[in-house]
Amino acid sequence: MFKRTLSLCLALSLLLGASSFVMAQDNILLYGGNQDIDNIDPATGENYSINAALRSLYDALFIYRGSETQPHLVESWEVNDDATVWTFTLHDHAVFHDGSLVNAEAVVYSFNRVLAISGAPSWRWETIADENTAQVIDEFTVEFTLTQPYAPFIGTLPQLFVVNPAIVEANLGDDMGQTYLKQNAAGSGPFMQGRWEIGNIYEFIAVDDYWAGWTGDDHIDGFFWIIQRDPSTQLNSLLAGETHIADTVAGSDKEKVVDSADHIWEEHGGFFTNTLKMNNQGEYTSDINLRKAVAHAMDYESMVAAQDVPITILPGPTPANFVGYVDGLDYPEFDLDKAREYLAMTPWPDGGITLDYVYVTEFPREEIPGLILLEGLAQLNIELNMIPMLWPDMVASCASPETGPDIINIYTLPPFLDADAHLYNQYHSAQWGSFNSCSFYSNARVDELLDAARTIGDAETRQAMYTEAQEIITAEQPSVWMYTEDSSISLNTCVKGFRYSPMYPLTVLFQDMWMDGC
Amino acid sequence: MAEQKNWAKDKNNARWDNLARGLYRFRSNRLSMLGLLMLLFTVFVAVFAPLIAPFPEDASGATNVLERLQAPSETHLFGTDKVGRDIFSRVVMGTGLALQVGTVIILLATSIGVTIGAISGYAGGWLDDLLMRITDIFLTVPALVLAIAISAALGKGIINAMIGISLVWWPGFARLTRSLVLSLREEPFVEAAYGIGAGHARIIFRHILPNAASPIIIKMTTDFGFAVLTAAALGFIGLGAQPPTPEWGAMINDGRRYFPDEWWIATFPGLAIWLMVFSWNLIGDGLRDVLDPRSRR
Amino acid sequence: MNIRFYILRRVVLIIPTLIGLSLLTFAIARIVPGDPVGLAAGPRATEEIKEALRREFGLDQPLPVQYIDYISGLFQGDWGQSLYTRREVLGDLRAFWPATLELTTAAVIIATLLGVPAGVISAMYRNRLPDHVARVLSLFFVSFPSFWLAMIFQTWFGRDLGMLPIGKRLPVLVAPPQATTGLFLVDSLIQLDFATFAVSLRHLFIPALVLSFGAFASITRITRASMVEALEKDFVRMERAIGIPYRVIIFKYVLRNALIATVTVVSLNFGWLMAGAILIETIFDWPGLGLYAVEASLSLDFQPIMGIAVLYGIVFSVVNILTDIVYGILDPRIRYG
Repeated sequence: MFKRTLSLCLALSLLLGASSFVMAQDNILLYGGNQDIDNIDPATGENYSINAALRSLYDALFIYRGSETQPHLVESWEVNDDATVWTFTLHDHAVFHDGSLVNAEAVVYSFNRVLAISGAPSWRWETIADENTAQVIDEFTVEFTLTQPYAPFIGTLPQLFVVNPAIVEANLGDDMGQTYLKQNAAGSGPFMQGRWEIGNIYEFIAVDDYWAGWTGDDHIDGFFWIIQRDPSTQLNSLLAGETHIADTVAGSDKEKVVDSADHIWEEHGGFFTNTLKMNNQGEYTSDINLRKAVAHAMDYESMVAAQDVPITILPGPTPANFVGYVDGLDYPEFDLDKAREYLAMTPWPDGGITLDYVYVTEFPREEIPGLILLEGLAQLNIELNMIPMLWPDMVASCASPETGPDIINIYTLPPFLDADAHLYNQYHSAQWGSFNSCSFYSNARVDELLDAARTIGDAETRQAMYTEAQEIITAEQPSVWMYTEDSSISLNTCVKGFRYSPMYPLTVLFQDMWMDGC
Repeated sequence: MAEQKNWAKDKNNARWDNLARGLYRFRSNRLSMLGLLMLLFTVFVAVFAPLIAPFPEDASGATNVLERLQAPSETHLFGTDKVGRDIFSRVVMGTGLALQVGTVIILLATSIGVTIGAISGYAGGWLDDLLMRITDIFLTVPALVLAIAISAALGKGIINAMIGISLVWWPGFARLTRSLVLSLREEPFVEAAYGIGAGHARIIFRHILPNAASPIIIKMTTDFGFAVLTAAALGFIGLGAQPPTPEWGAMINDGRRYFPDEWWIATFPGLAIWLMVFSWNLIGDGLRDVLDPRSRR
Repeated sequence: MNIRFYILRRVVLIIPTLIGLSLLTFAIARIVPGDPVGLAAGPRATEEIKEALRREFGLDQPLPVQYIDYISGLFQGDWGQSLYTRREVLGDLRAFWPATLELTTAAVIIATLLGVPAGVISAMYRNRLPDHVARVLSLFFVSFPSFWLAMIFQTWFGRDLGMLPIGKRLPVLVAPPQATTGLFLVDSLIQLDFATFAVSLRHLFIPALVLSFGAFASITRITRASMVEALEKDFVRMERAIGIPYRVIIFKYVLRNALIATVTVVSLNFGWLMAGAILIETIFDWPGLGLYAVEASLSLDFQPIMGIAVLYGIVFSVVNILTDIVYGILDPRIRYG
């Protein structure tokens, strides 16, 4: 009997006993990430988690630090007067992980591969470049001759990650190496792939003698991207010391992070912009007064109160803190009387219609505004049919005005800091078919202004053009302008080197991080 | 002819006696009576939901963000959710939906299953073989897996979820019915009916199925709770009702993000599901004793 | 009939069922209203790219051809590619399946360890208090939505009491044991790595416990019923009459008889729990087939779903055969025919 009790105790103590195993290890950063990294091919992958991985595994011509665009693989560069010919001189000592040099040929190869595959990141260059754009001048000089002038070109280059042509060629398959590169890196970046457990955790191991050196006082030996789909799991793990950074903690839990002595809550205004695109060619929403009625039936203040993340109301086409914002335009506010006035001018003065509201399934941040709009529209006797969809299906529905939903909730992030970045892809009619322009807005004068502003160097003239364009857009209300999301991220105080960047507001630049006393 | 009628009458009387005895035994089973009471309670709540719920509009689109994420209080018995909707009202208003979903699934599955099982058992031969092979195919994969696949393929929505679940739920009924029909087919009264020239349909529907009713009813009752659970599971995965429908499984999924700090959002819908499923399971357990006395001695 | 021949025949008979199953899942996959190719091609794909993808995946072929391609691939170990992740389905199944197998097996063991004694006690104290308690308890637990209970348990044990991990199979920094079976408990034992064994046991415990509740009720009920039946057999009465202690009778004669029915239920439960694992895995971030299945079905990625269904079909059939064999061992009177 005694023996049995003893073994039972032993088993129980094994099971429940204090954690005898290693919880944390020196200098390995444990990052609780909300999203999977399901693709690390620079030619097809692009979202916040994928980009965080790409920045770590690959090097690009330029890199964002804070709000600056700094040269990275590039040592120096020149541009001609009308912003069509760009010449870059590369560092001569950048090496891929297999030891071969990152040279002009690799840059051209990578650029052409992105264009040829035409995946998610390629929209930056599709309208300004073709297969002859990038040319090798000599081993370390590459020249881009754009098909049209494009002043903000450098702003697009942090997304041009350079792949190792030899590795891609060796694993070409019949899809230009897409299958291989989805899971395998072929880069020169500060980290290499370690344990790669699909859908679970991803290990990144620091390259000891990284060619560019490390920016911080010190550097981490590696990091784990741990997928934690639940924000509450993220919070709990962070507070328990099982992770050092949590990238998606609910705003309502801010105090818990702040109150725990050894954690900080970083919160910054960002440009992650949410708008409800109304189909300007749709059955109902082609009516400008109906669009105005919808915009005035949205209870913006309630939305601020209801969102789990801190947000700032977006007044019009451009966020108030972004380049090119125009103050004092007639931006809509929540006003049901005004909404009724506008509705009275439509063919449906008493409502009685149903509008579809499409949003990302399982994403409360897009569901909540829908629920609030639903209530506002109900006052106008307009029904809102809430349709949760998968993001890829939403994107597919934006392909043409015929398939575009009445109202669709879309997040956009400007790819660089220029007025063009917010306006061109959302309001230029040539952009129809991409999710950014799911409102299918079309105005000849706006097109003309946006095109012209791209070719002009003078800041004042450009701003005048952007101001006029925004006056027109604001008056025509192609979308309901909702909010910009303030970025928040929670870190253990032992993690150093964090610097907020509006260009990747949801995560960190791992190569600049180091740890002290974790 | 007169004799035949008498015989039928006797048989009917015998059936009534059985039923009366069964009812007595059911009543004397306190647990089953408790289950029945709980079930009546849920039905009562479902019927009078708009009167019971303090904020019935919260189930159909109203929001109140100033009172979001409030803990249970006198005004909000079960607290409020992310847009300030009263959880108590939503749970109450969702009761009818849950009952409907269970009923539809069970009725659909029963009608498909009983039809196929009866045909299979009665016809025998190659038709029996074919139908049973098809049934086997459905039984090789756990119902939940197929239900997820079918509902996903049909598209999100509570109707499609119900169709998906019904389409994988019938094989159990088919197997059961077939075995009952096989044994009843040899009974003297069926052979008698056959002898006096009754048609196949009449024999199946008037003579065989009524006598197979008890086991089928037991299965319907015991399955009801699991059908409700399965529907809630689909809602939880995100394949069920679309907002703002107060579907319990979807409400739990909603509350998951706020758990455990705002524990009430997910907790009360979960308890509501449990109450409904438990009541059906208690009744089913009791019915099994009554109608199939061998199961409990 | 020879047992080897019997098993062989059963194995061969799986094949028509699996073909039927593959036909069924294939039919389901082709009623999808969305555009799986648009999904795979990504946000900015042109019509040409989509067309190329359709060709690549054979979606431009007539349906019968597509099906025959699929079925012949199944037999050659080519289970198709996920449209979305482009990974080989068979490779994914190999990677995720052990996690689910480990979870399900543990749950079945727990359910049996709880359910059989509960059934035995119920039978011994038939219609007395312990019987009622066991009956109510089993119905009580089986009535909870498992995913809800999982959330509650995760919070209680993982967060409030801080006793057990919140999720996943191992802590991040503990490397999985060298994969022989993919079952961490088994692999760590093979490596004589007891620390990893203990850690993975701790991670396994709560998910498996919650999952086991789904099977508890039926195992208890069947054990009780067959025990009662066995207890009323003549030989038991006789043995009691000749003075063999009740406990000995129960364990030596009755239980053995009763176990035959229990084995069937346990094996049936194995299938049910494997399905239930889908829900539990999403709560505990358990990287198994469940998470994989849910993500695939939400993104209408049907190649993996078809693969999962076929895999479940195979496992189910194999478990059934194994059950029959165990039957034979427990009850030598059973003849294979």
